[in-house]
Amino acid sequence: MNQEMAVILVRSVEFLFLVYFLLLNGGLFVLHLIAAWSVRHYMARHPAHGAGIDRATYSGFFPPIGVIVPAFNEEATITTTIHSMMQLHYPSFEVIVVNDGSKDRTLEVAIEEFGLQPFREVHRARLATKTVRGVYRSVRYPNLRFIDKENGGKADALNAGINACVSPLFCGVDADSILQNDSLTKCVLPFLEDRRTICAGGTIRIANGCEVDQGLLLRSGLPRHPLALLQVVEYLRAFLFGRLGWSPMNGLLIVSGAFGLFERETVVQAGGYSPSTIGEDMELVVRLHRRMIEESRPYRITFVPDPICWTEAPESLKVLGSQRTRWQRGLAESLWRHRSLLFRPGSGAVGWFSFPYMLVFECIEPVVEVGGLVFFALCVAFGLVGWSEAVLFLGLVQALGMLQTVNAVLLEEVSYRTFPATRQILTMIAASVLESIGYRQLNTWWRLKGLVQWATGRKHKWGKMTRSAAWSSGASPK
Amino acid sequence: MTSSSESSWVVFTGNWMEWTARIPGVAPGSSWSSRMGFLLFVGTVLAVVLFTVSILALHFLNDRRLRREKAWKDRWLLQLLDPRAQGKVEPLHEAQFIAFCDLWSQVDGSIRGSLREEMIEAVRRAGTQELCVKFLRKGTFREKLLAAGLSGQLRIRETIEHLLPLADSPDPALSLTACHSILRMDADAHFRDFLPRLLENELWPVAQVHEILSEMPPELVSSRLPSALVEWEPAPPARAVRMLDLLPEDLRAQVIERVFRKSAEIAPETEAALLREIRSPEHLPLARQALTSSRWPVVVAALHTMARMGSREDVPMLSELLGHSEWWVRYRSAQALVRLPGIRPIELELLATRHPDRYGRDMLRFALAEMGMR
Repeated sequence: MNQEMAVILVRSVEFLFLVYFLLLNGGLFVLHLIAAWSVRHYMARHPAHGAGIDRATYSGFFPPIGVIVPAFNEEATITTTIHSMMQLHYPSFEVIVVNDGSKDRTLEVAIEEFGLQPFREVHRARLATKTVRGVYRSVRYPNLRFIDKENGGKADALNAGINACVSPLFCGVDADSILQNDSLTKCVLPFLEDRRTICAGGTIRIANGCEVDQGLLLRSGLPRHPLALLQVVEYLRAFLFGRLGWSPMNGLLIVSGAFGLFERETVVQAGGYSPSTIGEDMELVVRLHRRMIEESRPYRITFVPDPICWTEAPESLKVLGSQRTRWQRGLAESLWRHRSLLFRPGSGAVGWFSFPYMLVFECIEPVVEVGGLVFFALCVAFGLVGWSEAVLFLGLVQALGMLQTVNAVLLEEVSYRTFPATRQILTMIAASVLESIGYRQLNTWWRLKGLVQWATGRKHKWGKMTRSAAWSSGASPK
Repeated sequence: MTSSSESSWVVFTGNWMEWTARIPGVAPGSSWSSRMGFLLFVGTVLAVVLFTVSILALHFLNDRRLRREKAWKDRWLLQLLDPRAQGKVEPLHEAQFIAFCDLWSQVDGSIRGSLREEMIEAVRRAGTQELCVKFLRKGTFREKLLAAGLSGQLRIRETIEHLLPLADSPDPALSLTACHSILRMDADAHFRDFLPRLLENELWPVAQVHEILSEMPPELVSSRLPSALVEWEPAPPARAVRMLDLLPEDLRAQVIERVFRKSAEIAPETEAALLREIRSPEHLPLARQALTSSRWPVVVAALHTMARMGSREDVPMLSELLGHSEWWVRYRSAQALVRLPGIRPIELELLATRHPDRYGRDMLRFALAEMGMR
């Protein structure tokens, strides 16, 4: 009787895992289809090399943009970053660098390089931030301002930048981001084409292996380091499906902090970035959704599939692990804080599809995955499931993972062809296969750690991101 | 021979059956979940292989397409730029329209004179007229926008009837492009109708409107714009006043004077715009008077004019404004001071040290640094 009960229990749990697994992959399949349709639709309207037409077509309609760059201990890269921002091709923009109480010579280096002068400026502090110690303005570049403030974290620095910004749109950019000179032109298009747009997120790609000069991308390439290479295909999958799939139904919950364009007034009304959360970028986007839904205001949060921002990927397991743990913790925090959105009447795709999907298949997925592995191992150990069946199931999981990534490479080939050489395509296919073996499992482990940290309320250690900048051919500009 | 081949077939099928019987999901008595798992696994692996082959096939097809597109663009560029090749220009297909617009946006504007006219003629012969009409009638938003712009650039007058309804479109980019194209093709007939909208429509960017008006025949602008501004009740909006610089100096001065004289209470934005347009020394007293205005944007506009046309006699007034409570007034007065003709750096340095207001001193120091005088 006990034996029979155990078999029934095992079969029931097995059934639950199978249903979860099928729902997860079914959801991904639907996202793949939507992403494929929307990238085709987007490409028809905005050909890959059509930035010139966009500039001509919307000439005079481009709204001013404030580019806010929070910087903390960026002594080594601050000049390159600012120079790259100053070279952006956009009719009207201002760069606001916020020095978040750096302990190194970030401020002094910037003063020296850009001829910054103390500039007693009055602006309304509509968002509470740590004390602003001073505002500087460049005597060489009329559209560069530098804000020096006490350390309060990235969200606090962004809020200080928003307070100083006078443009109707602002763009939060990480200090280590590498932009293309047409990044702003491409990202602003959703605001011009649909007046309901309050936020647009850009596609982030890995800069390792690319040729970069003075902070601007010259030529795309694949990294030699295997860990960075695996992240290239991982980013492809995450951005081309994970985000592009949700965008047409207005269910996008994440806009990367590395590059996102926002309507300033809407963000200010929503209270700006939250300094008390670790994933301030996602939290803000979910909060914007919630606020607009609560106020029944028409709005759109859009994703731009054009690759417009490049970032350096960590090449050490320690740094990568810390980053992924942080991301998972940020995800859990944001979803928990805005849990009232879940199945809320009138919340549309956000409350009924993307929020539940993120909760079940992104947030608690590491628990299910690790739980499933432990369960299978125990079943095999106690002879309740045969070896061959366990191997078959694991093989299926790997194969589906490979399918998703290979599909992302296919979509990339159909759309932007960022990596045009045949050798690069073959390398990416190989990386898609290898990514499912080992790397994904490691990722699941880090994500589980993040979830545990969030659940136990343990303080997260940020760790130190060491920048190799080996991809950068240009040192500081001459 | 037959029996031997039959026996080897039996051995093979026997081994195959035995081998497959060990695979979970195929073996007799397998659970339904194993069967399903096996089918999914095989399906997924096949899909991975299929996708991989598709990627490679697409890659080679894309390479070929890009090579063809490049060749097409090179041919078209040659046809556009070489007058000898323009006689045998190849027809443009619907699918090439956006790529053509991209190409045209690179060429247009960089070539002037008779070559440009020949180029436009060649492009028209390629069938752009039919394509523009088609897209203006039935195209997507983007196609309509591109077709509207191209119609104006190529002066395709047949499109005017399709452009007129688009000029009333609620989308400002589309309506302005349509309006621009109509005016490019037939300014004489439509300028009078469109002028009030160009001056009034807040959704149309001022810089763009200014550019459109600057393209119009000067005599047309000079005959219509002054009366439109002066007859505006109670006073023209600031965006309309900004078009004053398209008028000859004497006409501009007359309009400024008449608008100031006509309206007792002008909106601060309009007053500021009028002050910024002052170019004639005889109107400088208007700017000096505005320095005492209680509305700070008006004072800032007057300071702009003082920075261009002020003299040493304005130093006391400007130095007083350095201590103004409004940041912008302090900033502009400091800029006006350092730009005054004949004022020596030592005088400014003294002022920056002795000015009674500490914010005023700071601002003057910054303005000096901005001018490279420190």
